[in-house]
Amino acid sequence: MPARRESEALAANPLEQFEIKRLVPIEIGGLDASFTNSSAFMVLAILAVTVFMVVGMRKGELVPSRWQSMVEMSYEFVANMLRENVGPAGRPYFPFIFSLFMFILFCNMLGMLPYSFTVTSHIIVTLALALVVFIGVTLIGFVRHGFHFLSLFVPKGVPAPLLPLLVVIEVLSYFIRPISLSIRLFANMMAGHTMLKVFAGFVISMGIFFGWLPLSFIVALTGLEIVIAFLQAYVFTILTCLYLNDALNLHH
Amino acid sequence: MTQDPAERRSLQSLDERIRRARGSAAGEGPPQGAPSSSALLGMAWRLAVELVVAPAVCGYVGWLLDYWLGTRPWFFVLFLLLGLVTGGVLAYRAMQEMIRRGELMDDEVASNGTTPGRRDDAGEKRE
Repeated sequence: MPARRESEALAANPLEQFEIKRLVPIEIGGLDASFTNSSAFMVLAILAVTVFMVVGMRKGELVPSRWQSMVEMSYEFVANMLRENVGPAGRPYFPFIFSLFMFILFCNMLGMLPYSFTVTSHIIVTLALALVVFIGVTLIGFVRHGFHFLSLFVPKGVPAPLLPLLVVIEVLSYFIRPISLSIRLFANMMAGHTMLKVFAGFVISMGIFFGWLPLSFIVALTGLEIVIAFLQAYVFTILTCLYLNDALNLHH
Repeated sequence: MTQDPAERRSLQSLDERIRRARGSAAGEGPPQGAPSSSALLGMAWRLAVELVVAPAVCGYVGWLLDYWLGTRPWFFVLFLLLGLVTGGVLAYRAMQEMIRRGELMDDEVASNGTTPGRRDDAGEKRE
């Protein structure tokens, strides 16, 4: 049954899309620092963000064009998020928060294009991003408040016998932050893309009569994935803002 | 150089808008609108993941400690319990934040325009 085998080949491993391929093998001191498809898509995302911002604001008209108002909207969106969650103390960190949001958003959105690679579906990428945030925020907290920063772990208005337990919980919840931050983004992106691939496999294996069902489902799922791509970028950024708020203003 | 009333009014409204823009740029003015429903959806994601990740990570840390110290299974059990509690606390906090924001949204709809101040009641959830 050659037709059957062919369909199985087409409905290939749904995890194949996450495979890392070395485009330019580089080795530095025994470490594999190859330029991979993952790196390529990160560079692409940065280029896309740059083009989006620079070309959009090239004219800088008083009455913005469609493109320019898209750029302005994304600026306003992040600026408002920072203002609502951190307040005036957060303003120096706006460039970082904005770059973070745009980078994750573009990585997620580029991943929605057929044949592309989703950088954020790899936990090492999201973990690296989350660790940058975590370490950065912790440093900011210590630089700003010195050892008084540790009062973040001591909740106020708690009876003394409960205090040790609550301090332990606070410390644990603090160290869980980078992990939950990275797992959320990674799991959402990976699950969504795997699901799309699995349903795409169904289209082939169910044939011309029933294949339409999963196909229509894919259309709906793609819409959902685009929402999630935006939402997860948003969640990552707003949590960064909340952590920054803790470090700057020392209250939850 | 006499200004006609229409011109003066438009200048006044311009002045008003400039002042408002300055205020919001300094972070003093009200935030631009209450959080949207997508903000609430974002918090729902927070809640779900933290509830699951906390016990998983704590359990793993406990297991590692057991592995190093040869005290199986005590640290695993202890940290798993701590993780469950931590997950619960985190989810509880995220939920309270959600309720608070939801109320802000309702207030906004009710009073139509006057937004309440930023995180004024953040301390109360500590109780």
